[in-house]
Amino acid sequence: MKTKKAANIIFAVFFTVMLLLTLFAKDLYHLTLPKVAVEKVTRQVFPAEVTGPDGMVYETRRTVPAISKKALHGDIVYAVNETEDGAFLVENFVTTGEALEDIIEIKGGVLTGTKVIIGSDRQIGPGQQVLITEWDESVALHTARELGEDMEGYAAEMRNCLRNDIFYIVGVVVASVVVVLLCRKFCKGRLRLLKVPVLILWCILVCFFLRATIVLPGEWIPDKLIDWDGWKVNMERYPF
Amino acid sequence: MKKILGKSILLLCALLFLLPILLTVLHSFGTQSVDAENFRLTSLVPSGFSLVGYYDLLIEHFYVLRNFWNSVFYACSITCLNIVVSVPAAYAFSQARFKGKELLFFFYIMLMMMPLQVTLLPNYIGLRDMKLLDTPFAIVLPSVFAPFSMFLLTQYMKGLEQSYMEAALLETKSVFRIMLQMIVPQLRTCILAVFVFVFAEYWNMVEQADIYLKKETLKPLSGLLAIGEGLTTSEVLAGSVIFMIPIVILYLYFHDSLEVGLESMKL
Repeated sequence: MKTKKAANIIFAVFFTVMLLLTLFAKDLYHLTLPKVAVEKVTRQVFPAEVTGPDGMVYETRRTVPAISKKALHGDIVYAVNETEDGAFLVENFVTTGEALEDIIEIKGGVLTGTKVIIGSDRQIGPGQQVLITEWDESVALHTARELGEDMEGYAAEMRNCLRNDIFYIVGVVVASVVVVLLCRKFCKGRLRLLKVPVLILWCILVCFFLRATIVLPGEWIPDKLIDWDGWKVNMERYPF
Repeated sequence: MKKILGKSILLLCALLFLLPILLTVLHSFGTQSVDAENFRLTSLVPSGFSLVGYYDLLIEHFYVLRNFWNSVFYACSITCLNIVVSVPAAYAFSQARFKGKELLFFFYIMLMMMPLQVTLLPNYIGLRDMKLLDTPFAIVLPSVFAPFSMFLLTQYMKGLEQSYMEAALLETKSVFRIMLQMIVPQLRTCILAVFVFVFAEYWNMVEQADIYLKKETLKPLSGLLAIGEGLTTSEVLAGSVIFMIPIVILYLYFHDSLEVGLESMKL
């Protein structure tokens, strides 16, 4: 009996530790970061008009810093500050100038060569840690929604997402009921000690699942799983 | 005097058997006690205490944890499915009467006696043609039908009282009902013993993972530790200790059943 009890304790402790280490692993945490696409502020050629000494207006060219229109959030541009701990967002107020097709002139606020965000797969805010990726479908979809652009297949994609969300939620609820019933059925007698660890592990798994996937909007969720400062900042952002 | 000498020899043998495990555990907590280039212990006892190996393995290398859960998945699914398949097969071999039963059983035993390397290639070809290579099924499917557990269960079932079967046959003609309600409850200790054997066998598998799987994300921890690619020696030692723990837990749970099961199977 003592051996079984020891085995129960070792089992619960060992697998809880392994599960926690897995769920709170750095690499896994990186997967939960907002994916962003970046572009450097570059010098672009814009048409210009100059008045000559003879009073005639001549067409000429000028090279000025410019960014994609996608990078602008009102008069804010999110620049990326890349550190050893990862890439973080810095809010920059910019003064814009002339627009040309999909680029816009920057008169001040960011320097040439600065990496700025042109799209993200969820809402982003200053100070947030992000994962720099290529321009992909998820980034494109969210950016298009943010910009109010009409994108082919966007509505269908959203419907699919909603359907998936409902499917996942129903799946989680059903699986939770099954786990509870199995615990009640099998965790009796010598195995009764297992009931609490199993249910705790299940709750952690479900929380992680909800955290990692779909149910909550990205901006409601703290940036790190265990980051008390982050929690505090995020709590302050909540409407209540 | 003879008694003391005998006990001393036995103790020495036990220590010799335990030495690799003791050294692994000791040096996994040690500092600079392993010559990393030659993978050789520089001293019997580590000079200091350090958890660097564990930290690097569990915090820095996420893929180790992923491979650990792969091992858990493979070992658990193979063991459970293997028992589900073996119990009816063993029931048929021990209780049913049909032509060629002995011959079929002989082939089964032959298959069991063959070394793993003999069946690796045919399995590989089969899996390749079924487009199952590099999927978890490549590991699970061939292992589910491994004959070892079926053989053990058959031997045990042959020892069951025939009068119970005859009495059960008077009650019902359903073979499944007899098997589930009469045979399986009697097989409890034997099934637990088989569970331990099969779990341990597939927890430790190396070759199958190496041959059937190319994707690192699908490999079990045993495969990773056997190669040790990308890991330092202290990480491999720490990984070995972590790798041992589930087997120790399993033994602590089922050692009673294991002893009774082996005894009843006359092994």
